[in-house]
Amino acid sequence: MSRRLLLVISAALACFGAACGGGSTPPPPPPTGGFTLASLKGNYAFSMTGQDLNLNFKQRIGSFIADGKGNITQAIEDVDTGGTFNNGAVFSGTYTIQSNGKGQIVLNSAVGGGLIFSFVMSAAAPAGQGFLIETDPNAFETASGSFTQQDITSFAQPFQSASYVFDFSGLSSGTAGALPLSIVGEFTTNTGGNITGGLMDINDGNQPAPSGPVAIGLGQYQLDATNSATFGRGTATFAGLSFVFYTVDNTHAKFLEVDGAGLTLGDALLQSAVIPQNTAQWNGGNFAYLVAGAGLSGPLANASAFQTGNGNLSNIVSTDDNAGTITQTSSGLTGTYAIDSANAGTGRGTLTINVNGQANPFTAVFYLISQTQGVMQDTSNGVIADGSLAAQAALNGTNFAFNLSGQNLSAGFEEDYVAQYSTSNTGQFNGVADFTQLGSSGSQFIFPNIPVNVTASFPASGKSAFQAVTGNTPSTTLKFDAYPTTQGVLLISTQNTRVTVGIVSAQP
Amino acid sequence: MKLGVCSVTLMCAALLANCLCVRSAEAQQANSAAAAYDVRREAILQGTVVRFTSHSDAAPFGAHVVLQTAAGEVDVELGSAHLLASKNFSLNPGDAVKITGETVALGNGTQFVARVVQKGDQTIAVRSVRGFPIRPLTKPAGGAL
Repeated sequence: MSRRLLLVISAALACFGAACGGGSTPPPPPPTGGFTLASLKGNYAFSMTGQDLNLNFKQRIGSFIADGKGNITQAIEDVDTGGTFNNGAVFSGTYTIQSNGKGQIVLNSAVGGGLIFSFVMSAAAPAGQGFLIETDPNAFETASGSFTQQDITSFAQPFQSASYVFDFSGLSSGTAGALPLSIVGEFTTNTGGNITGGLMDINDGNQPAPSGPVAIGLGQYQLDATNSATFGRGTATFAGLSFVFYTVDNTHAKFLEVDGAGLTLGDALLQSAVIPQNTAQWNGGNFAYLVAGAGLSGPLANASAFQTGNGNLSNIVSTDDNAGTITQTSSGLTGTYAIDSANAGTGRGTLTINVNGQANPFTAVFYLISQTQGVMQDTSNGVIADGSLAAQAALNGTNFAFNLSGQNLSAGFEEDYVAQYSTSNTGQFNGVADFTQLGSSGSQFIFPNIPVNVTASFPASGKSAFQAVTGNTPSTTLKFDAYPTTQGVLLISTQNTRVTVGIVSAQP
Repeated sequence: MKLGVCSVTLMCAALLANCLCVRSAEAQQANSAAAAYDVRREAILQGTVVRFTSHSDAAPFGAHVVLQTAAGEVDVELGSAHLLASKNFSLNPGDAVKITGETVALGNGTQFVARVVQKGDQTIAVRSVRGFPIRPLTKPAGGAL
C-alpha cells in the first residue's frame, strides 16, 4: 500500500454508524494474520481529524516511538482545537496488538491526562503503517487518521532539492464563524531550509470563488531544535501560512497549519522528477478519485472512475453523496481533462465531468505526484472538497484493513471505524471493528471488538459494492461504492443517513 | 465580492420555488454542484414561527423552522443549530422573523435554505454568500490534550 492512500481520510469531513448500543454482542472470529508486538517498532508519524461534543473542529499531528514489546517509550503531539493550539505535548504509554493487526495505544501525559487510540495496521515494521481512531472514553471527542513509519535518518534533512505536492484541508476562520477550506498545490525546496516557490489552488468558503492557480513565493522550513532529532518535528512558512510538520522520510511529511487563519491538516509528498508538461504527456489509463468536503446542505463526497485519453474522459461511473442524497450514475456522463501548460512542470491539471441535463458540471483541479497519482480539489459551483486521484488496479489478498470516517447525519455527529477482515474466515462474521460515535444527547459511544461481516470485490476498473454488517444489537449495515486504485480501495457511502468515506488496504 | 442580493416578494419566491421544482424534476443530478446557491435568486420570507427543530430526522439534517407566512407554511433549513446556540439565538413559536435565503433543488424535491435570519434586532448569517453552512468556531480556554 502506498503512503498516498493515507491522505484521503484526513481530507474527509466525515464519519459513520447508526444507532448502536444495548443487547448482546457475539464474539468476533479468531484473529487471522501474522502481526505481533514487534510489528509496531520504531518511530511513527500520525495525523488525525475529528470533532468534540461542542462541535469544535479538532486536528492532531505527532509522533510516537514503539519498542516492539508493548511500550510507547516517547510520544509528542500538536493539537488544534477550533483555533486554539496545544503544541508539543509529551506522552509515554503502552500498546497491544492482535495477530490481525488491530490494537490499542494508551498514552499518558506526565502533566496529567492522556489519549487512547484504536488502530489497525496495513503493513508491519520496518515499513509499518495503518489507520487509527480516537477511542478515549474521557475525551468526549472522536477523530480518525493514519500513521506511517518514520525514517529517522531523514530527520536532519527532511526535504530534498525537489518539488512536493500537498493537500491541506480543514476550516477557514472568519468573523461569522468557520467555513470549509482546501489548499492543494506544489512547492519546491532546497536542502538549505528554503522553499523556493511553487503553485497552489485555494478554495476558501470565506472567499467568493476558488482562487485558481496562485504563485507561492519564497518560504522557509526549520528543524525544531528540541524535538527534531527524536520525533522529526519542524516548522515551515510559505505564502503567509505557518505550519508544524513531522517528517516521515525525505519524500513525505505531515503538516498542521498553526497560523490560526486556516485550520488545515494534510500531507506533502515528493513529486516525480518526470511530470507531464502537457495533456499529451499524461499517459492514458483507468483512474478513480474520491473527494470529500462540504456543500450547500453540509457534508458531501463524490467519487468517479473513468478512462483518460487525448484530453477526454470515457467510461465514466460516478457516486455522489450530497448530505445524504445519493446519486449513482453509470451513463450519460462525458468529461474532459487538461494538463495546465501555462504552468508546465507543476503537475497542475483540470478536469470536468458533464451530466446530460444538468447545468452545473463537476469541476476539479489536480496536481500530479506522478503519472499514476495526484491530489484533487473540487471546484464545482457550491462545493469545497478535496481528496485523491489514482490509477485503478484490482486489490487482491486474503486479509484486509479498513478505515471509515464521516458524518452520521441522523445523529449530527462524527463516527469513525478501524477494522480488519479476512476472506479465509467462513463463519457468520469474517472480521472485527472498533468504532466510536458522538451522540447528539451529549454522550460518546465506543464499541470495541465488534464482529463484522464484510462482502466486497475489488475489480481492476470501474466501481463495485462494499458492505459491512456489524454484529452488535441493533446491527448496523453499511453500504459503499468501492473504487479500487493503486493506492487502495476508495469507499463512498451509498446510504442516505451518512456521508462517509473510507479506505481498504490489503494486509501482508 | 459580488453580493447582488435580490430582495423579491414572497409571491415571487413562491413562483421561483415552483420553477425550481419543475427544473429539478426534469434534470438529472449526478453531482453536488447541481444544488448550488446563488444570491441572485434570493428571496425574503417574513412570518411567525410555528415550530423549530434543532436537528431534522430527514435530509437536510440541519436545524429547521416552519414559518407561517401570508402564502402558507414554509419549511426553512437553517444550517447548524450549534451556530445558533453559540450566538444565543433562539426561535420559539410566535416569534416574528425575517429570513433571507432561496429555494434550491435537493434530491428529488426542493428546500428553502436560509442565509440570514433576523429576529427583532438580532441578525445572524447562517450561510456564506456561496451557500456553505457556517459552523461555530468555539475556542476553548486553553488547549486540550
